[in-house]
Amino acid sequence: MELFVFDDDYVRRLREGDRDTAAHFHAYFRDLLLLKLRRRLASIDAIDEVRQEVFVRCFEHLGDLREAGKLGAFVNAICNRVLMEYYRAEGRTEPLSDDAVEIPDAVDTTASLDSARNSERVRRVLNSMPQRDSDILRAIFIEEKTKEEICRSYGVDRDYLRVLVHRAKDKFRMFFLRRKSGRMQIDETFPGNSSLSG
Amino acid sequence: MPMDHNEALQSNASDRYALNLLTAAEADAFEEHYFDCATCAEDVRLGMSLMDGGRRLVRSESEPAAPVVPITAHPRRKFLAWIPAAAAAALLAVNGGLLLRGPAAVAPMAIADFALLQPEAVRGAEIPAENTLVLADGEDGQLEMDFPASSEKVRVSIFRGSSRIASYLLVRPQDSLIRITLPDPEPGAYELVIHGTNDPSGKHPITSARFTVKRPTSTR
Repeated sequence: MELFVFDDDYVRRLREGDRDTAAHFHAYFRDLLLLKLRRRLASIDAIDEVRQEVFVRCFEHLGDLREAGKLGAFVNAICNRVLMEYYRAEGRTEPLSDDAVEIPDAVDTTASLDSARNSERVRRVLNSMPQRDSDILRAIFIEEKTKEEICRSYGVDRDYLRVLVHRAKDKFRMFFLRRKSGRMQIDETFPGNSSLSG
Repeated sequence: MPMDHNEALQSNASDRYALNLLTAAEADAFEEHYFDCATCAEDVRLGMSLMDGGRRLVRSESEPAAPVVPITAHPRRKFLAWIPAAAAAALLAVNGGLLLRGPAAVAPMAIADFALLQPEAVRGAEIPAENTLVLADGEDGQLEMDFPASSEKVRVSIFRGSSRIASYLLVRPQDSLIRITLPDPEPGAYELVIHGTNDPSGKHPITSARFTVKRPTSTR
């Protein structure tokens, strides 16, 4: 996803129902909402339900948005409201049973990032790191291990975990950029032949 | 109160967010910031991709190799990948293209028209007689019904046995029809339940219907 700044023209097109703008809006906030919601909801169904409701309400209330630069805050505020309603509704009914709880980890089936490629990039990142750091990162990826356990096992503090994730993220970013520049080069060489650029 | 950008950078909020090391209040403040900050949003996405990719990698390394299966000309889609055509249509009416990049972009398929419910049944909240959807092997089916008159927004859930296998939030489209395409559904008994969105408890459906998918030539 490119770095993007929302402006008045973007919001106007969104209000007018421009298809490309609506698709961009959906793609931009889909992952951000997922990230936020999976910290608060335990099942993929619940996340999907709340996220759909957030999108529907965003379009319903777009007329209330006064400042285009605050579109993100607008979406976040609607998400908070829908979440509160969801909690209230859940409180009146049965809580999720333990066996219904899933840990959603993928973006979703329409994610822009290809999961297999992603895992391969992580593998390359891990292989490029010292063995101990690679082991710690693998431990972080295994959900059953708490941060406390990891820190205890490897004799490091939480800040070291953060530094490791930061380093891994930087390398990960490099693989993204390399792929992107390689694709641009191919596009320039063979314009119109998209099969060569995937 | 949102975190400001400098504060987010200095406190390494993005990395700590990915690691789930922020307090609830810090996470709220950071979310308020990154929803409006393209740089931090990008950083958060990158962190998410790294963590998700890592989890998948670690899992795949610990799982036994999958058995080799023959490749068929028409790979079977997962049942959960049902195309919410009605959802796409409904949301299109609201926002002009929201789901076009999603499941609706799946390749065209053979459609067996199947009127699941009559409008009277929808309005009368009766459970109609059981419907049967007879499909050839590999053929897809389509459920079609009137949008309930009492609501502008409904949730349609589809159950197989006691498991909810799909759920769509739909806004009334211009033609007031609900259409759901079932890509190559497994034979068996299903139930479709429609709730108004003013019924968060889900205890008072507007209507429901049972239907059976049959495949006379099925070898499954």
